[in-house]
Amino acid sequence: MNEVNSIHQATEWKLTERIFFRILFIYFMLQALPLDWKYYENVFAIHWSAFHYSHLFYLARYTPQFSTGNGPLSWGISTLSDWAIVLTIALIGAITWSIYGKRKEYNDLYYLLRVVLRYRLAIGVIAYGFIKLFPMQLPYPSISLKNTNYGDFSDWKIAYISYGVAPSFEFYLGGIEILGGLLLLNRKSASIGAAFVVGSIGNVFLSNLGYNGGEALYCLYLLLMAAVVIFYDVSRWHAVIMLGEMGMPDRYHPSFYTSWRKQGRKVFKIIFAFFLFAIHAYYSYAVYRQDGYQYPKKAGLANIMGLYNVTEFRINDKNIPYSLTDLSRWQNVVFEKWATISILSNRRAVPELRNTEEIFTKDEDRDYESSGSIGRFFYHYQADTLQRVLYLKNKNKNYPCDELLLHYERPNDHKIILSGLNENKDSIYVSLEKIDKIYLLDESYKIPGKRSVFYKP
Amino acid sequence: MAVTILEKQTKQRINHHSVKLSDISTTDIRTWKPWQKVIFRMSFIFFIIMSVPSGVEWWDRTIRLDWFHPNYRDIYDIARFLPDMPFVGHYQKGFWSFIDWYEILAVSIVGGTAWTLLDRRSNEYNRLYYWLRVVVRYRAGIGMVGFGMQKVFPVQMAYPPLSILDTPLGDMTMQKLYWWVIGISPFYQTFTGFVELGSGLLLFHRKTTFWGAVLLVMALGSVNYVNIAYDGNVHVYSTYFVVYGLFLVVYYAKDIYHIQFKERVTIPQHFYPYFSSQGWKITRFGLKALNISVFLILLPYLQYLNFVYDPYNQPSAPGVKSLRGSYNVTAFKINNQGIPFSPLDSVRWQNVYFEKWSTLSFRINMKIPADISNRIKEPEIKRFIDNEGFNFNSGAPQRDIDRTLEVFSANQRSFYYRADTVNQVLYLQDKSTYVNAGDSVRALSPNPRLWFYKTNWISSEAGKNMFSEIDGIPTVAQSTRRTRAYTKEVPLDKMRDRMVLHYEVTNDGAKVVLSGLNERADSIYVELQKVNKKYLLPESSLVGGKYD
Repeated sequence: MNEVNSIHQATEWKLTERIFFRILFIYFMLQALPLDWKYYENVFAIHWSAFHYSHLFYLARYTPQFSTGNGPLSWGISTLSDWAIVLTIALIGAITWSIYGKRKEYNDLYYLLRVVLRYRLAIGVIAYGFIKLFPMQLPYPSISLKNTNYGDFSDWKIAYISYGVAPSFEFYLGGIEILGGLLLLNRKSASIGAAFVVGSIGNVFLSNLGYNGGEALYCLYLLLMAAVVIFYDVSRWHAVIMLGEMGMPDRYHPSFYTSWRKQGRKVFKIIFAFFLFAIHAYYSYAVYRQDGYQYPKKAGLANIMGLYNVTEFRINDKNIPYSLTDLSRWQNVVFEKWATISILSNRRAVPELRNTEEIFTKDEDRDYESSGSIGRFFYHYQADTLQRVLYLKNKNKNYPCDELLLHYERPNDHKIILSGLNENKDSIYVSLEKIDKIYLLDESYKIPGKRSVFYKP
Repeated sequence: MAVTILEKQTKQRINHHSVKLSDISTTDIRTWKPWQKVIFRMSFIFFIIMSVPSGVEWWDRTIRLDWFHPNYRDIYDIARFLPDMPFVGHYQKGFWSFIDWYEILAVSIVGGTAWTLLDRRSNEYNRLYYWLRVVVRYRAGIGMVGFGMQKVFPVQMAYPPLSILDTPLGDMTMQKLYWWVIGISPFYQTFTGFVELGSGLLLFHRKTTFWGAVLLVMALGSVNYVNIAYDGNVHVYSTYFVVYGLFLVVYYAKDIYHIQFKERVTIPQHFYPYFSSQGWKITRFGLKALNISVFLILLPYLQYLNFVYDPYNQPSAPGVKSLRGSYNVTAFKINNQGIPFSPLDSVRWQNVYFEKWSTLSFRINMKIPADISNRIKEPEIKRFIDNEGFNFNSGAPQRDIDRTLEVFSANQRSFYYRADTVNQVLYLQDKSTYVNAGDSVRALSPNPRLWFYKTNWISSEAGKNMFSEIDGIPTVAQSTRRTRAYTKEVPLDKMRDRMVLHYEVTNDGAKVVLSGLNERADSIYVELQKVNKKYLLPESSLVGGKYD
């Protein structure tokens, strides 16, 4: 009888079960517990006085990087070689354990493993959930992105932008992740929470594979843990739901003999859950209030934001008329709300293809607007408003010497005249005229009755 | 029997605990509680009405279905219906878009109450519940198979055409962006297709119903949210399936709650009818065989043909081979007057795209009307968005000219063309559904310059030099539905803008000259220089259609 067998298993495990368990136990404990010393280098390098959501994010995205990773505050994600090291240790450990181990069952350790994985998973998905619940991870496209041709983006960038145009959908995706995380904190609902993780992170995993993202392995790391959590309840669900037969509930309860331990555990859990949730909510909302973290924060010149047509372009005093083919002639220029200028010409950029999620706190690191596209050249600028000089520096690390020094004049609100030296030290004279462009994307975004609470005109 | 095993087991210790008989949870399904009976009666009426095709359109198209020359859409459409109730109107958006459901709900409440008053003897409805679940399972399952199949063979979302690859992202609507993002990754699209298909297959099988329903709620729940967030037009239809999925999950809720949260030994009680008589056995087998042969054999085959020859969201007839590609416009004359290039000029073409299918698109600087979002019903707006608002016409169109996935971007016009390849003349028709007030008069105009708005604008000599529209795809993929669409008269066609352009290819295809009449019968002369663009966006590895 199936039922009788399952009870025997509870008291004494089969040999193969014990061996498998020993491997998996060591493997997942090494993956989940923060044992990598480099992690603590990063932790000690945090300036706690300037605590930011990015710290929570990176603390939560711990993966052991025994073979990779480097210096403080360069939090990476583990690679397959790190997994191989962990697996090797697990195999060696399990062999040793099997030689010396005498126990016939590991119910206590199985419980412990499940607790560790549940909390590891919860922390992982909640960190990613809040940057979507307050829609920031996938922001609405900037003016420059709206004026970049579809084919000039990488597929990963297209994926980000396409989800970013629907903040309410992003909110939903984040909500599912957080709900999964919260359900994981309770033993009885843990498998259901893990199923939520399989649904939401499974989708992210496939998106990473389908759009050349860089976090497929991290997703798989979480998915495998979720599978272990779910596996514990699979047989009873199978019996009750699929076979329609009697199902045995989880009969294992950890022994906390004294009542103060029981109470203490309960209090600890509530405090932990509250802090996990509240701290993430507090710090993520703080970033959301400041317009997120993907675009730079420092304001650009006043009243200049917009798309500008290049009505006149002279290089070394030679006028170049409108052209779709000329490599040096600018076609249009975007001034963002923040201190970024982007220029379109027929030059194609060598793109930076960042395909992992990073939360940068410094403006110069924030490369969301410029990475993953070849259409435009993005410059961070500093303005001397007294001398009317703009100092432009290319944001793309493939162009370390691309700097421009331009004098600017604004005859009226719609016109800008730039003159100075371009990246090749040729003298240029550029006359810009603002285009009051109406974007179909914006129009579809603000359909009456569909403006969500996230709508920011 | 289960109880006797249990009594034995009570003697066994499991860790620190043992099973007591009081720990056992089971449900006596022989007598239902009164409130359960009331809820059931209402649900029964509700789901039966929801599951019966009540629209005239469904019956019309299903009766007219030609089983000897079927189209994938014929089979898909059998599974595609929503209740269509009398006495209520139709609403696209918001709370009232569900009005048919409110009526059904009202009918179920009234009907369920009457049933309660009349039927005072029944203790349970196990048998009826079983059959209701069969209806709901199959209705949802067939729908999911239909959904899934379009993505397993990735045709629902197409890879963007050349003209879109060169369109600024902000010049497209949100809904468009969502469709393209799925279209650029056939891997992702195919996988979501397998999720939907898998959910359908699991629903066909009684024991796996729960998992099928969970998968359905997960997948269609997201589709539902996408449709609301991106202003799609199938939010009612996706909600429909989510409701069906939830209804199926409810059946297991109590057992799951007991075993998982109450941690009690749970003995589920299910009712299954016993199919003893020969008649039952044959009927059951026959229905299952019918379902499998129509939706799991015929539909995949037709969907495969559709994918290979006639991917339904992109035009399928091949375009002129020597013309295909992206071009810069190097010279443009209108009535012999040259216009120099300026990105602000509203008459001069800037770029031209010849797709691998028979579409010519060109970029001009169009004046985009302000405040589109509040004026989606106005004709002027239809140049940029479809009749349905910010959606586009997805799915049903059979004719290439009606496949508008590629159009409706700002600053872009797209024309469907037929080519006389001997005389090198293109006969072009506007793909947008935008119509001016005076457009229908052009066909009757005595002005000789407007000759190409007459019905027989393509002379019979020219007609001999082109394939007929029906033969745009191989015979194996042709169907009665498609033939009917091409032979039917469409009023809009008479109002579309037309052009007649001669083409000449020189320099091994690097240069093309177009000359002829534009939609206003002005003579135009356009010189094109081919551009070999390198895109960052990876090409799709799995694309439908045959254009050789």
